[in-house]
Amino acid sequence: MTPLLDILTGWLLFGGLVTCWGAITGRWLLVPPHDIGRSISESHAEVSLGVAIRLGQMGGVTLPVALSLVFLRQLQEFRDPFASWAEDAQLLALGTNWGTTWIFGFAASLLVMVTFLSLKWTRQAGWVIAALLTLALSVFPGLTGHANGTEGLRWISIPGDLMHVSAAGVWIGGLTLVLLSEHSWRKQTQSPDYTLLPELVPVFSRIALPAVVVLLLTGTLAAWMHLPSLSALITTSYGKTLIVKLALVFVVLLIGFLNWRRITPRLSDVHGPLAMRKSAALEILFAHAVLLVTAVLTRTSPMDH
Amino acid sequence: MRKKLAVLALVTMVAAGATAASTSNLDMIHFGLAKSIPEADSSVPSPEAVQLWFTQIPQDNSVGIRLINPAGDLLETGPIMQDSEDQKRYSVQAKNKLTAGTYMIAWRGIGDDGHVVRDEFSFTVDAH
Repeated sequence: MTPLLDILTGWLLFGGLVTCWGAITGRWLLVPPHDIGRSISESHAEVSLGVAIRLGQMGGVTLPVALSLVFLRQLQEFRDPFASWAEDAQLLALGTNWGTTWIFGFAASLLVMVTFLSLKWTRQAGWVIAALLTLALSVFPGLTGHANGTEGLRWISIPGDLMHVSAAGVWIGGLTLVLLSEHSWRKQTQSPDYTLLPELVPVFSRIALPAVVVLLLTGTLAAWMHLPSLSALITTSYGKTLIVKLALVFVVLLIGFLNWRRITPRLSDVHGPLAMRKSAALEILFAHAVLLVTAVLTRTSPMDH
Repeated sequence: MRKKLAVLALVTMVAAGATAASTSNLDMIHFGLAKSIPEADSSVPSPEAVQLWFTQIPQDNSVGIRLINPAGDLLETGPIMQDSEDQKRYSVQAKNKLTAGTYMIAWRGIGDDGHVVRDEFSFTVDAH
């Protein structure tokens, strides 16, 4: 597997999880069932939840593909040139802890896909199952990554990693859902002036803020646990990659802050929604750059120089 | 109620972080080879077995040890054995006495963090 495909595999996995989290966030936090018909109109709910289902389906289809690539990547590294591929694949999948975790992860990804593909926005039980499966699958990166390598601290590193992935999903997936709902709404109403943003963005801000706090806390905890020393930030490949990630995270936070403090109050102005659409799209773009660098980070040993 | 829950969650996370910070076992040991018999680049009489000590206990069934002769062919060895007392130690028995020459040991394993680590080193069997 080429280094590019290797990194894209990680990005697909994180991207798939974030996308599924976007759908879950839409259903339970942005357009919660008890608000439909009260503070949220039926037509708005129909559009946003329709988008949430499509987003979930996109993430759901991506995840088994990403998990398959993860297995192929691991198998390629595990290869014994004196044994057959089938022999090595069987040993990796059925004989190692990594393989057991992968089998559960792959099964969960298939269930996530099937659940989202068969979901109707009115069926609450399906959404509960989708949320639980997405949460369960979000522990996969931690169980097969650096979080599991912190001997004696797994009780905090693995839940911390799960919270990190979930919070990233709520933030970036949620924002993606806001933008796609807006796009779908404008397309449906055929009116460029008709916007959902003044309704959706304030709700999203209330969700995004705690998600960002959780992201920063769990990210700091992970960096502190994985870096052998502060100087490792500049002396190891892991540290240098982490600096790149932090720089990109700073850019995303800055855009998010400007969206929140500068553009949100202007959403009822003529140019406010357009400014928000552009700025939020930029935030999502940089967030995916963060996911790409995270994919590199998960493949880099914290000890190697 | 929501604010109280948020504060509680924050306090719990900070407390967990502080507990983790105060834990002495903080060094993350990456999986790799700690030492071997025969040692890398050493000259030895024909060894009866190849023994490897890893920096951490490898994942079950993930360890592979191959003994390769000077011509690049795989030599037959016994099954891979894990020491029951020192679980970081793995070994394979050589089936036959090795003739003089430079041999290669190729190994691989999976650490706790899921990374596959592999490497190889050579040693020389003395003529005597």
